[in-house]
Amino acid sequence: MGYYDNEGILKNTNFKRYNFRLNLDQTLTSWAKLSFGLGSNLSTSRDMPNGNNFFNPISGVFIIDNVWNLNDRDANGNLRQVEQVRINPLSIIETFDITQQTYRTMGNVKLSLFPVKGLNIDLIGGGDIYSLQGNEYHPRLPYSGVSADFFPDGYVSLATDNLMLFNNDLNITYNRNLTKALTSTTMAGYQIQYNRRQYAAQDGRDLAPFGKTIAAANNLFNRPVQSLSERFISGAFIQQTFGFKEQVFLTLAGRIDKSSVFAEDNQNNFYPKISGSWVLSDYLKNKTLISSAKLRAAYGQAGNLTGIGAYDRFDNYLLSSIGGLASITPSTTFANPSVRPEKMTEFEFGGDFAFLNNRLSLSVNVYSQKITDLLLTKPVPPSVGGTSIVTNVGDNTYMDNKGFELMLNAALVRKKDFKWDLGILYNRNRNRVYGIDGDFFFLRTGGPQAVLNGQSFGAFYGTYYARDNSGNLLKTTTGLLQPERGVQTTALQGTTDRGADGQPKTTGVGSTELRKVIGDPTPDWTGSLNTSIAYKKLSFYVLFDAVMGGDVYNWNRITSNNVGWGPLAEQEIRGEVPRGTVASVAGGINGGRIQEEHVEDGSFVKIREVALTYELGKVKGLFDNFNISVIGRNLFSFDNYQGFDPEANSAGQSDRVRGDDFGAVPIPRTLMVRLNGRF
Amino acid sequence: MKLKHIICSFLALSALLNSSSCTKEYINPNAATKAEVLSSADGLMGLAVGIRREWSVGATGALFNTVICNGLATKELTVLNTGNNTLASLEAGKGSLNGANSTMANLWTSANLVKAYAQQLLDNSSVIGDAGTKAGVEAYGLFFKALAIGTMSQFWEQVPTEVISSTDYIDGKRPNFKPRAAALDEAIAILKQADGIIKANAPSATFNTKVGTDISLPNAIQAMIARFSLMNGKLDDALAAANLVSPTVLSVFKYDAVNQNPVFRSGLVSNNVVGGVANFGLTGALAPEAADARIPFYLGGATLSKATGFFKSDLDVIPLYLPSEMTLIKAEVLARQNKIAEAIVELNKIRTKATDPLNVTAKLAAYSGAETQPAVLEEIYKQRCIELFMSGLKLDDCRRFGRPGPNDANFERNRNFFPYPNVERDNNQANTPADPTV
Repeated sequence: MGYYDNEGILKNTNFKRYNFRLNLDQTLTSWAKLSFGLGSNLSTSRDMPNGNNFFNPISGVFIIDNVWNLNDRDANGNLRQVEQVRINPLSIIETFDITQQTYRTMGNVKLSLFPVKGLNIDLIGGGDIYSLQGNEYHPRLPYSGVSADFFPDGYVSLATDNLMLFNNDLNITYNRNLTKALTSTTMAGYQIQYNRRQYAAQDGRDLAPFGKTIAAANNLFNRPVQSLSERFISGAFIQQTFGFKEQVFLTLAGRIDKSSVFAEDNQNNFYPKISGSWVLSDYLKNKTLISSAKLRAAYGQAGNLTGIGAYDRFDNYLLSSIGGLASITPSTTFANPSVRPEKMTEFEFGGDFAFLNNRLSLSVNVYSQKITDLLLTKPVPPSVGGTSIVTNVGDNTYMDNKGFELMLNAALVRKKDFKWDLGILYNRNRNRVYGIDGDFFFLRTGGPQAVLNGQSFGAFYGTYYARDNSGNLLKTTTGLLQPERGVQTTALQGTTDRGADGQPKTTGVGSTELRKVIGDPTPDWTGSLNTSIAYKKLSFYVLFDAVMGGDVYNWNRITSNNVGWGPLAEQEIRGEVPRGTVASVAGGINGGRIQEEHVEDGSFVKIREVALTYELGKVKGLFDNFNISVIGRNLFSFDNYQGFDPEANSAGQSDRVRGDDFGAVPIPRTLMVRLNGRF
Repeated sequence: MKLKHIICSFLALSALLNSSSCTKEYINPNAATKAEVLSSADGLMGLAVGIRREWSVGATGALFNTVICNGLATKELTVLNTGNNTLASLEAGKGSLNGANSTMANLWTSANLVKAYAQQLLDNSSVIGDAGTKAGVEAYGLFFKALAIGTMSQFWEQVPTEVISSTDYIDGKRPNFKPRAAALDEAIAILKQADGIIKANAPSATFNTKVGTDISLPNAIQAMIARFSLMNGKLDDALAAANLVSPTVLSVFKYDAVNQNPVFRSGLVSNNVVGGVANFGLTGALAPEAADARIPFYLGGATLSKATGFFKSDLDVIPLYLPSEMTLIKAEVLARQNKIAEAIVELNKIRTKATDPLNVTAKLAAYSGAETQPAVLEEIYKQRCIELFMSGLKLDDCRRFGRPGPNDANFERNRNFFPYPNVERDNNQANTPADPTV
């Protein structure tokens, strides 16, 4: 049983969880065992709006000019309006009520049979059922002048999301010694997963007095939403491993996977795998120097079974109504009726080594992945009557991941009263996409993230500053910043074109605003370093995380300049830069927005965790063991990033659109004291 | 016994779960399929309503973006929040407007969607048995296809009139473009075809019930023939069609609580997007006369520059065209044909109008200026700018009347034509034409 309560970084936000778990094991006979597990939890949270919208209080802080006092109140203590049409971010923090509840029950049954020696049969059945409920309430605002878009007359919404997941697995393992030296392990089985989700929502505005639920809404300005989706995934596998003298192991495996989300002819896919390892320990003469060594290599294929939505393979026609008449419109996202899963082919090679009586251990892994049949939502030209298509991107398109991982652990000092350990993790990956038809396409309308030939996936593509031959900014004759212009010869490259006055041409041939790769959110490498030092009953632990060489597309900074309080706006007001400088970057004076201005180096090294622990040991009559710790997380970030946190990503966990910072809530710095006792 | 029981029931249960899930085909319960919609009369009539909705509803719809793009390019409207760089670029025009502009792209996208959806009505109307329902569906499809092509011709030099299916797209096909004169001719031909269809078979009662009669097809078809013929210099055709349009029957887009008047909801209500320019953005000789009753109608007052007109609430109806546009077309054709006295007669119908089905009334004195072709044409242009304020037509008017262009002193339009949106060019690199100079 457990209870967890976490206060959010923004005032009036929190997360609470109550949970319960039960496990039972029953030995039925000598050759059968049944186990049973049941878990249930209830969690509730109070949230604030986030993401790119005007309700997000973090965005609000960037958007509202800093001449306003957010805390200004009338005689009744009500907040006042800030900046015409905007909502005061403090109104959101103090009076909005946005809650989520999750009720979740998980159960599983496992039947294990061992009918003959060496044979294991596991049959597993599991279910996970959960229900999410979200409620949002904005009271009527106590001040006038706020745009109707921000619901000054109040707003409520209600959403429920019911999910049900069943799985059924069968695993059969058979171990046998073929000869004295040769062992065999045969495995076979299947996995089946069924997923059902039903979502329903309704919102409304113009609230009746006192009401806080959907019944209080006088204006249901959006249609109710209901969506049901079902997905079925299954797979069967067989795997054979041979072991020779417990030194050399060879595994051959194959599996067939089926997923209901793909086109009928492409639902079943076969993936082979082969791997081997060689334990060298027996050949090692000096075990003090090299204690153990193992080499391994693997080759295999895999596919993504849930790469697209449950019904993305269909040309869907959406239903709605207008003026009481039924209305049908085709989805602007086309389907590819022959869509199939991506295929990843991977080769990896590595080794695990231990030195100096196991005091030093090293793991190295080198890999090369090739992903074909890349599955994406790709834009289509509107002239064909749609805006995007869910499809495998081109027969010649593929993505490469090449990299290596290194893990080093060292017991530096081992004395009775003094221990010192060190761990290092290093990961370098190079990602590239090739064979894109037309050289590139954007991953999201309005964002810079694109798929470009020969670049890493999701690189930023956009307009950039005009520069002279020596690389200095080329300003207009009135001293304003301007985008580079010329002829876009290929997607990745343009030729600049200057007029007689040495300035970029603003009309006619050669006046196209050029675009190029202006940044890349993919880091060059990531790493971490941890060390722990223990002296008698006192121990100290510190963990550093590094993410180096990734860019962030910082929307916040341009926004803060546009509304008049960012650093560039300040320079403009002080007359340090010419009038119109901010607008020349933001777009609308000398061309569109200069997107290069958004891009910043997001490299950082963070002190992720520091902990100081004191062991009290046994406390007589109370605890077998008792310790007390002071723990700090995310204490400091070493970076040159101008926003709050280079690690934040407005697009959440999306692996397609990364590196956006627009109103993202930074990762909080936490300090905690922990008392830990065992009875 | 008990043990066997447990094991058997467990195996049976998992077998049951697996067999039922394995064989099932998972189809989408949330939406209709293409086959369902395109193989039934009800599906096609629903699609007809959907086409009207795509055109007229929402901040991404063609109607809203026509009003905004045209208004900002011709000084009808002004941007209230300069931090909104997309709208600021449209207002600055010239070299500041580039293919990345999302408002311009919305206009392009919505018009192209409507064109393609309309083609689906035409390609599948043969499944409808009833002649009157079939005629209604076909005429509706043809009308909106022509409206989409004609509207694009007002903003772009070349228009992708060709319609291809998503299957064609997957096979690598991309639509070709046509110069706007040819595109306008095509739009007119499509409208004439629609006219022939409803003359042969009037839309059925079923069609009128399920698709609605807010758009009077016989009148709207002629009105668009008149509009596009005039834009394309086919003066006699324009005059003939304008004469066939009833001055009292309206064709409008209606709204409800869920589908709101987009210009009000997305453009005006926040007081943070766009606003009307004082005096309709007209200065000097073109400035409206102080007594003009259309000033309070469209701008809410002589001094207050806030657009109102057909956009005062979520539920206000927006006319597809103003019947008085036909009078102005007649006046313009006659003036261009040098029938000055007859032109002045039509012009005065606008100037002195005191009643109007849409309440757009100037209540001015009759024309008293010079009775020469240039003077009368300038007065017609001025009356169009006022009478047809925020109806999306001024960019073409400004070009047709030879008004000062983007690089002239006191320019009245900041672009001749728009650049092609990046969403098109980036994904149709082979066929997208070069951008216009300005």
